Amino acid sequence: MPLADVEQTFMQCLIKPYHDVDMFMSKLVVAGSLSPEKQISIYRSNINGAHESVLVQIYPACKTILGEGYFNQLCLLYRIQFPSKHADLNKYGKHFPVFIKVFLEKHNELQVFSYLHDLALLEWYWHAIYYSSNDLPFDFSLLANVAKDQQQKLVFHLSNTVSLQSSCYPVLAIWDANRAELSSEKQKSEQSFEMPDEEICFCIFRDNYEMALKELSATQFEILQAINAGQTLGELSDRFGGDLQSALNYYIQQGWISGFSVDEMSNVR
Amino acid sequence: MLLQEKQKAPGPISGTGIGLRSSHVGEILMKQPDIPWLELLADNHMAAGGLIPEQLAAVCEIYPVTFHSVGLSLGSIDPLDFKYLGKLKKLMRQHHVAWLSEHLCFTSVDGFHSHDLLPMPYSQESLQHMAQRITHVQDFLGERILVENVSNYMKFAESEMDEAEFITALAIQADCDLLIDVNNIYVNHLNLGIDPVRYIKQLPFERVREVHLAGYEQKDGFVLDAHNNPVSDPVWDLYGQLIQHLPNVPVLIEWDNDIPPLSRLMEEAHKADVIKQQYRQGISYAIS
Ligand SMILES: [Fe+2]
Repeated sequence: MPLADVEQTFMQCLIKPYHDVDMFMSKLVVAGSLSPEKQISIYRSNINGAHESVLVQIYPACKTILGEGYFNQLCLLYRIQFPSKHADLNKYGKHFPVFIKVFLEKHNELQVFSYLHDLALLEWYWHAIYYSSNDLPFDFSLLANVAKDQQQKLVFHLSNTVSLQSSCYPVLAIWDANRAELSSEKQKSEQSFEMPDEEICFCIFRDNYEMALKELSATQFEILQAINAGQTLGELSDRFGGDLQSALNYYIQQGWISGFSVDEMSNVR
Repeated sequence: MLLQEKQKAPGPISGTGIGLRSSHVGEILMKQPDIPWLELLADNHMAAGGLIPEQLAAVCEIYPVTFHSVGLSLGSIDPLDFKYLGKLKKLMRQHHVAWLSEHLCFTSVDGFHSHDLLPMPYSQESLQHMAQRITHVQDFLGERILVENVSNYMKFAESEMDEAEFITALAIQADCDLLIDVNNIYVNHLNLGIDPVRYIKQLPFERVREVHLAGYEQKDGFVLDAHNNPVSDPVWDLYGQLIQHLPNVPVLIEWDNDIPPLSRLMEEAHKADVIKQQYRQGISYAIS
């Protein structure tokens, strides 16, 4: 069997834990105390454990809510549907919120966990932004140099270290209560959360080196969404009027806006 | 503080160092304990921004550092990941990293990543393939890398030589150096029945540039190279065998799970130094 076939069949055994291993096993021999079956099962188990521990680290609140056994089952299903395609293990788990969403849609009995997608998304942003690239400081002098007739075309850029999210569930309270391991089942069963009257809006961001989360008003959130969608300063002014100036000042001060561009010049941060 | 390229030359890598893990970074930076050098898991220090690159820069300002990576997939039939390699090279230059070590294995194929160290058959085909890949990596980096023997839980019918023969031939063909992990040899002895003393005697000592020590865990029907325990007595004995031939080669303590206080790792490093010293002074160390 050429090396290519060995590697490919070995990998198939690992990324498909229920895959028939006969062909690969025929290439193995008993070694010391390890039968060919045991040899494959050791690697399958090692890999499962390594991937699972990444998801446990990224999604602690989801794990607490679902319980260890159920969460571990989901981790395995996730690994089968989304095998790692990146050398950076920090990127594994990116599709878990979507996976959860589809899983919930297929299982009516899990409707009680309908908020889990939003919770998982929050946990993903919290993890991913920690590792995202730095912005250079906003250069105000370049902003002052923009010609008056160009100002309306100016487009602000949202920082790499900010993600926007909204939810119709009390997802922040749920997250807060379930991030750390709960000390007892009793404590867990006592949890109850009121549904918010309206959608809650927030942004997750890196403040220096620490992760942070800030609740936003509906208008603040819409302005940030519009900026993220690439709307020009002219469009933003027309849409948000008097609310815009103070909001922009606040976002720049927070570091949530990292730069700007216009047709002829750019200050991409 | 923005990252800036250091001007100073790195200190030498000598004596017994410690594999730096994130739980100890704060203490290392605050207390700057007396540790001769540190090995960093390169893959854990490649974040684009935030605290991790700052910590890397700060650690490299204080300690001589080597990189240990798991993402090069030296044995894979996939094309080499030059983007990943480029990032490694940039960090190594920026922080004066003394050398890069990788593993005798593949980790990815067909674009799928196992994030585990997967063994290959010890065949002529594997040997030619891996030697060529290592040559390309070394050409790109402009320096030799170290290749480490791994814990292996599999034996291929197609293997044409044992691991010690394979890694020796590889070092010569690829003109690379070796990192010998004594615990991995012992784990392979327990699981696969290899002869650890014979393995050590076969090694090309002139190419061994670093030695690893770690602990294993007893599992159901096998032992796992879990790096979650002190170095076991038989591994200390084997280490004694090995360092008779390598009196000046730097040694490293690896501990990755159930990580104890830094002081415990320093005790383990001290023990490695004491045993080495005993050999230098000609005191025999019983091999069990
Ligand atoms: Fe090692």
